[in-house]
Amino acid sequence: MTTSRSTAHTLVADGLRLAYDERVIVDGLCLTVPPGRVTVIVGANACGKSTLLRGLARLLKPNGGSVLLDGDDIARLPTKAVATRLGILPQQPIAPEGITVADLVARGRHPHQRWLRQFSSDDEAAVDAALAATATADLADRCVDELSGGQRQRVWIALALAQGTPLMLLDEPTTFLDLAHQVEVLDLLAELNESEGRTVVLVLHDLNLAGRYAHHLVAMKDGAIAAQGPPAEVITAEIVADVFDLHCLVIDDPVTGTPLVLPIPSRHRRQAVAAAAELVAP
Amino acid sequence: MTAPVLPVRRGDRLVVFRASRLGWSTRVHARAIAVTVVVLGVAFATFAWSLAVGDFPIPIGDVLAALVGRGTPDSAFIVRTLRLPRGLTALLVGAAFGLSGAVFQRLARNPLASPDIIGVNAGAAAAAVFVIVILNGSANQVTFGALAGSTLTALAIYFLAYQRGVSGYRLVLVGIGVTAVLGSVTSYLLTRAEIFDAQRASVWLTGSLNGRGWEHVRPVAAALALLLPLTIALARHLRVLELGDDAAKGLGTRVERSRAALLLGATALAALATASAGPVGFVALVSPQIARRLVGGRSLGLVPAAACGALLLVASDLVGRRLFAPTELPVGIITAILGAPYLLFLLARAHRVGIGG
Amino acid sequence: MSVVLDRPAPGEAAPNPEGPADSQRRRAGTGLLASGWTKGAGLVLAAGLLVFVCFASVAYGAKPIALATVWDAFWGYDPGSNDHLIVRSLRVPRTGIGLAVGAALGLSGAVMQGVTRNPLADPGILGIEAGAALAVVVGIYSFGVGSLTGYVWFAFAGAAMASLVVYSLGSLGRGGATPVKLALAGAALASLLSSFTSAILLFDLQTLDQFRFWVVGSLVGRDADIAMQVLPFLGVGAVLAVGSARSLNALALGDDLARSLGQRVPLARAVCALSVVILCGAAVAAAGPIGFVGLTIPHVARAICGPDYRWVLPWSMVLAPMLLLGADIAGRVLSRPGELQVGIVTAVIGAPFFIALVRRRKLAEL
Repeated sequence: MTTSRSTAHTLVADGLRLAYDERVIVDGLCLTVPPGRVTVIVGANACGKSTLLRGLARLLKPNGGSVLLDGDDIARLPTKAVATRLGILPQQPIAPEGITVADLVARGRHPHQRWLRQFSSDDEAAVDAALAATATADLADRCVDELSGGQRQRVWIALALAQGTPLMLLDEPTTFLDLAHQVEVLDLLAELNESEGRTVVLVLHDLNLAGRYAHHLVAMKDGAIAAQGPPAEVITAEIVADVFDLHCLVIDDPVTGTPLVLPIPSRHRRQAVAAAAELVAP
Repeated sequence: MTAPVLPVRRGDRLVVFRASRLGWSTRVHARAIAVTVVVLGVAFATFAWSLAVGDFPIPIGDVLAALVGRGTPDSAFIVRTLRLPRGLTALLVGAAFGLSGAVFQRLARNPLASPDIIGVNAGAAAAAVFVIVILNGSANQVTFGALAGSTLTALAIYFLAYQRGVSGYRLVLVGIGVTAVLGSVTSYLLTRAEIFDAQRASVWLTGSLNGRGWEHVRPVAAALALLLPLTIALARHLRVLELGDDAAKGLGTRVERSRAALLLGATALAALATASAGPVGFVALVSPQIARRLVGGRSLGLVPAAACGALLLVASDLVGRRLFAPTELPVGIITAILGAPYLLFLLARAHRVGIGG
Repeated sequence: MSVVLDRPAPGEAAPNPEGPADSQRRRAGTGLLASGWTKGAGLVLAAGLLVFVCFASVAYGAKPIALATVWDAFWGYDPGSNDHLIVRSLRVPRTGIGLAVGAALGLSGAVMQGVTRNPLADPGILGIEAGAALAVVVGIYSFGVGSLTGYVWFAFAGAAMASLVVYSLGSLGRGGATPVKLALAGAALASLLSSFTSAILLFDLQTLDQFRFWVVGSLVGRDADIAMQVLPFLGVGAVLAVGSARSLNALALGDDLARSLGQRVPLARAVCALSVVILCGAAVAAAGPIGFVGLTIPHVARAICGPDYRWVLPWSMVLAPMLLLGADIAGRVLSRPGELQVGIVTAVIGAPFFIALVRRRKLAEL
């Protein structure tokens, strides 16, 4: 049963300027995250994707402009209130030594807890649900240190799930995962979006997976948005060449119908242009 | 209290207490409770034993009599004025150092972190030696001076390291600089002093419980009474801070504020403990490690670390008093002799020895 | 006892689009001087400055001696002149030892930080100072040693034995002598040894009375005899250390990558540790334990020339004696006619500069 889109939370970046010390990464960026949809941010390395995500999640204080959560300036809202509405899974999170999976996921309930209310039945239910959804319930008593990269990533996603926020921001959640697990994680996020109406914002490296799962695709270059819109509009050979500096051929994915990017290695380019013409025209 | 507090689930060695009508709930690790209870039990037993032994052995029955006010004036004096406050100081100072060390190690994510970094010891040492050598102060003045010294030093380090927030790394580097200067001051004073003052200062610098009376018990007791509950209340923030600054902020913790509060609490504990007993070596470093091995990786181990610290100190004091009786060895020497081999033993057998291994 | 902390976790450093670790290294990697030419020229200039400081050390001291007299002491030596005697048999050896000890401390500190991949390491974590101190105290207490030359052998032996124990203990278990295990073993042993030291000192007042002057670290009374004792060791240690520069660069990349580059990791670690023990052990034997220099000078060197150990080592070798001799001169001149020991003045002079540096620049983390 889909939640009404109108009750979904809104997240808007308005003239956002983000910088580390003197180095400006993002300047004057405006972005409206479509509520209740899956948004994927793509771009070349060092284009500012993670910086943008961190700025949206109020991890980074803007030097100019603002981020509006449900119309309020996120910097002025109490951080705990934000944490019940917006959750972020950052890059390279640290797992304390010797912690078990269940304990780690339980820490995701922190925004809902108070000094006297440290582990209510709601918390317990949320943790159990998160473990089930990420298929990590059987790992619950294992130490996080012992898990493989893929298992660990699923545990972190379970933590983000346990936080129970209608808005989820994930910074490269599919790194270290093999293809099967990448698809599994993305399917999970898509499912959460469809069934619970959660707004999901992802940073992904894989353009093809981004094309499959995104409702709204944002391509960034040098700290600015080069193109945004439905994947079919954004993933074109021209835009990919501009944003990624990559020559490619874009065809329709035979399985899902979404855009599929086929990179053209430079030395084959001349031959491939001819071959591609043959491929596209049956 | 209208609703009963019942253990709701006992699985995975976790005990959850819930009073649903009040909306209260908390979760504790059963093993942590068990370890704390056992360790404290042994500590108290050692403490009780220490009341009975000494240059004038007093049978347990007489000890109890002296405690309640009956018994001979001699035993009353020895028990209530000499041994009782000394034993209590040992327990409290040990607990304070253990707790402080546990917080520092969790904040720094490093098994070698200890309150030294923030210059508590260096400041206390310089001030105490100054009071002993230059001012020729009484024990009380030394205590007060040590406290003033460590507070000023911690503040100085914090403000010198402050630059739009305090990064842990800058704090440590500034701490090194300030500690070095204070060490120089201490060395200078030690070389310019009369030999007897130098000896007195050296004893203080090793960490000693000799002559500790009720005036030493009170500050540490007050510190623990105030800061132990505070630290436990902040423990849930510590659990989230451990995940890294980004994840912690994402989960709604005010990172700078929580970290500063925890640091302040831990520093205050170490400062007061140092003021009472001198910079007793090694307790803050090794008690959290022992606690961690006993409790396992699941609990933060703050209270167990305090318990281990109390046991280590009260046992070391007893050994120091009796080993070469009638000569007393300062407790700071014994804690290293007991603690260091244990740490080396852990090192030799461990698969995981802290970060990186 | 020094506190050794690991590198701060990635979450604490300011991340950026490239990924936290990479940009940290890149940003901090360029020191003040970027190209090889400027680094070399800078080094030559610094060496020149060092020579100047050496002259100053010979010229200025507790007893004011005119520069002309100093000149004469070299070129027109008069054995009867007291001043000439002071210059030749006291100040020159003292300066020489100060130079050598400083260079040894700076070099051993840099190597230690390189081999442990930890910018907060100093030679003390191998238990060198604690071992030396205990040996000296035992020497004073049990063997009635009273002379500086006597201290030298005890200190050196104690330093060597302590570091051997630390290294062996740190090598037990999986992985060999990894940085964390070394640091833990060193911390444990150093505490143990210093409590034995304290125990002896508290038993015997006379021992304390002698020891407290040695333990601050001083160049007072260090003459040609001491120089003869330690200089050979310092020379060997320096050769070993400077020769390990390329190994250190490889080790800095991590054990796995170092191995894949053909570096024999356990051997490299052992050689580096040996050089540290020889250098620092001899330095402590000659002048007593002088802290601060070994820990902070490599940071300054890295801030100037970046993390390449082929530059960090020579720069440390030049900067450290500058600090040490400068402190020695200050100690002699500022408290005429007496002297302030160099171990005391070094931190007082060096720390403010160091703290200013920490505030201004993001110090290189490797």
